[in-house]
Amino acid sequence: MNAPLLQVEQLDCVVRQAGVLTGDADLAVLQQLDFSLQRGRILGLVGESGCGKSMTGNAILGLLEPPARIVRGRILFDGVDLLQQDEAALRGLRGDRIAMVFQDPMMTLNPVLRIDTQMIEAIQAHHPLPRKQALARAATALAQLGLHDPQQRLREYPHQLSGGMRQRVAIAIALLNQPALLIADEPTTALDVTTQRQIVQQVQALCREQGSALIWISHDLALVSSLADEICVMYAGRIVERGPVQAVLQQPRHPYTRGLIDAAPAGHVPGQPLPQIPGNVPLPPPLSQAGRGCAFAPRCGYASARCGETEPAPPEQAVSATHRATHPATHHATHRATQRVRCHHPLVYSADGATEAITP
Amino acid sequence: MSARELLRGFQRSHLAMAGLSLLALLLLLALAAGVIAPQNPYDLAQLDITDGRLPPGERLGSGALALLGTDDQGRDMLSAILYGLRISLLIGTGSTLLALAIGLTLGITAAWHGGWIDALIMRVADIQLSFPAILIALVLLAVFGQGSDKILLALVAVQWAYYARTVRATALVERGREYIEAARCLALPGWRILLWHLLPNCLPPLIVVATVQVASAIALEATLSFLGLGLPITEPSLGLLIANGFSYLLSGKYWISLFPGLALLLLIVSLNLVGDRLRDLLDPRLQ
Amino acid sequence: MTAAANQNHSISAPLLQLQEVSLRYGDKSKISFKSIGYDKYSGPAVDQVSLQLAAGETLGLVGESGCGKSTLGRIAAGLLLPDSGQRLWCGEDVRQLDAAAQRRARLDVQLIFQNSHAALNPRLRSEQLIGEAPVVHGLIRASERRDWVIQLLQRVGLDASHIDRYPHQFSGGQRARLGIARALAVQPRLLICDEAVAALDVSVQAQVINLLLSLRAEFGLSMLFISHDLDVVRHLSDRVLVMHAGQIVESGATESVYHQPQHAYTRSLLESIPRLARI
Repeated sequence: MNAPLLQVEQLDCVVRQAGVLTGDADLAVLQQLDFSLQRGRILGLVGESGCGKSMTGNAILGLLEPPARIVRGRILFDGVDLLQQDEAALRGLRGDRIAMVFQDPMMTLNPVLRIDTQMIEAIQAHHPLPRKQALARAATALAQLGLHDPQQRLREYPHQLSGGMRQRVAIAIALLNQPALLIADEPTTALDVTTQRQIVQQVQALCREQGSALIWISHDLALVSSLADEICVMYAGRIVERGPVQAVLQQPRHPYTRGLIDAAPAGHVPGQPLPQIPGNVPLPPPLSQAGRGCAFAPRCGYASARCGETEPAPPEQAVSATHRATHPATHHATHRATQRVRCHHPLVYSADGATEAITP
Repeated sequence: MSARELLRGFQRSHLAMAGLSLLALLLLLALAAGVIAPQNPYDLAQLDITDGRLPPGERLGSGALALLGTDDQGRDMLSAILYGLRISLLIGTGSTLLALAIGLTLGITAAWHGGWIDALIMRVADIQLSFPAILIALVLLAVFGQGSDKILLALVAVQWAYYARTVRATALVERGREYIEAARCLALPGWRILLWHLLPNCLPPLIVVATVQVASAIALEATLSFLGLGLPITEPSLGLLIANGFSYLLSGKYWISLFPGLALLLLIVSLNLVGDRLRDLLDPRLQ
Repeated sequence: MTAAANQNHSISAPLLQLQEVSLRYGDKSKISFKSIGYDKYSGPAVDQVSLQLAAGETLGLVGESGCGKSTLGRIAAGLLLPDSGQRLWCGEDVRQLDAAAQRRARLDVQLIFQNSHAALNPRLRSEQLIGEAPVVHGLIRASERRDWVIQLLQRVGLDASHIDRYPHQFSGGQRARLGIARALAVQPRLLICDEAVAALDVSVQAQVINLLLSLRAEFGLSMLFISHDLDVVRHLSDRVLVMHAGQIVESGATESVYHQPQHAYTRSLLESIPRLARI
């Protein structure tokens, strides 16, 4: 068994909110985050706005700034706990072994520098390479992302490029040093579907080719399903379900995942009401009130009294509990042991996969 | 943002809270000047020239305590400062409010109508702003003569352009917002959209500019009075009081200039603290 | 006699008709609101577009960013005037009508916006936000305003207690509902939804789509549904127009466009949508 490239263990993260009358309060934004990623694999991190998915990406990158901070947990990258590293060590990693792409490419690109200057800098910051070689490598990287006439693009400034081209350049810069891990935070959300498809395909192919692992953060389940090997579904700062993409999307075991899939209009009879999840995504609770019951319970059609009282254990533990054979769903669960869910009443499917029932 | 949220925002910053409390105290003192001042410094009958230049803590001929000393006219400094504070604040806020009203009207008209009206108003504002405020005020006072109404006019003349510019810039942005489009879609009358939808959304940046402008108007008035072009000597503002004592500074009679100077400093600093905090709270980009 | 003929004419005419409308960059956009009329138009162009919308019909308008679909939506709403071509409402040029009829015709078409935050005046409480226009136009009396607004709030799935709240006190989904209630308040016949659900999370998006579906059925509303999201458009529309670079490249019944796209651009759009394998 290989050690995973990235292992996030029991990560808790809070945001301090100033209050005059109540005093400062810590809001629990990430709770007991637990997942791992093998080398060269692609993980889709999915959730609605405010569920903490971007914050997860930033936490891994060491980019969390006050008022947000990590209060507990470990982030092991290649066996090294990133939370114990100093800023200099992290800077050495970022842009080299761990790279990132944001929704707005201008987070990466400097508007007053030409593309070639920025790309050469990105290479030479980590590798002592002569200018000429660095330039060649930059041109290759742009060509790999489907940019026409890379030599010309290199001589241009970011504002001369279209939104899609800018994002391609930002991705090319991220992949320049063949990172072991690329974290992409909604990189195609602002782009048109045709551009999005091309970029997704190119990034997927490049990561496979270079052996880079990829965390693709997105609100779009369908997009992630076309790209990722594994998926983590987040809700209200927790991972509520994770596992292989096909398993999770075809037989989701968390009612929230089920609801998300069903709420998308694709595949429903036009003009008919869509199955909807009632209510709204909750705001992060104060730390003192966190963990009182399942966060999804108020919107969940399957919630029981227990759901309102105790929070389901995080996926890792839930599975080991399942293996203890005390759980009725055990025998079903074993053949997809890697699909894990944080729920008191996970959905189960009969053998033909057609019907579903709820475990008591 | 409601008044309550604003107050909370102030409470988050100790400095801003100190500024706000100080400003409230100064306002209260100025408002109550007629009641709490030991003497009416404008009533020449109450003044006795033999009380002139008494150091702080001495007693006047009438037996009253001159806590902060007296000036060369025999005015009790504390009373003079309280009344001076009142007149400085009155002229500062008065001119600011007038300039605000004029600038707001002109600025929003420019943004709403555009075309040559916009060009005309904004070019006049540009020309106005290209001269130093003090120069314009000096010229105006030289032409019109002295008096509190004249200085008010001069201060309005140098200030309106700031508001016109600010409100025009804001209105241009707000005008393009979808809620204005929605109001048009609802076939609401143009004047209604202007007054009820556009105008209220242009106010926050103006309030910020106004707070800071009150401080600079007070400072400008003090400067003009110090130069002898502002208020008459019978109704001294803070600036004139400072000017009065200026010639006695070197002879050790520090109190005639120092105390009004301190009052002016506190007033301007507190206004600026409040203005800065207001800007932070009302400008979403700085949140 | 002529009146009867006219009557006949307006019954048989489509609700909304655009005939070869164009608006190009740099053209003077004679926004039908004279006080803002001085700008040069600077949005995406629309080039010789014609469309018809029958009463009770929902027309989908899909295209990528910058293709001119929002501009076309605003021309359809009467907010932007094309510099060539005609816009006919019930077969008539609205500008030729008398004041009362013109106002009714304007109220008959309402826009639902994408950015529910910018589309709601931040300084107005729900009551005024929704109740202002119907009172101004005499649809209801000022004394009836509160009840009218409460009724609308409840109809769009909000609560009567929301009537004194400001827009920022609502969530994104609730603000979308507020925008819909504001439009409904003037009893329109056509809703133009410009990316009305694009900014919403999937779970909330489904709620709003369902709301639009039920309102359409209840009030017999027509809709022009503008979106980049082909799945959403498909779910709501009877007919679809595909727009590219200011022109309509394909139009037809929704299912036939989705199943047998004729134009290469439509095909590439359809192929690009990420698909979720369903059980």
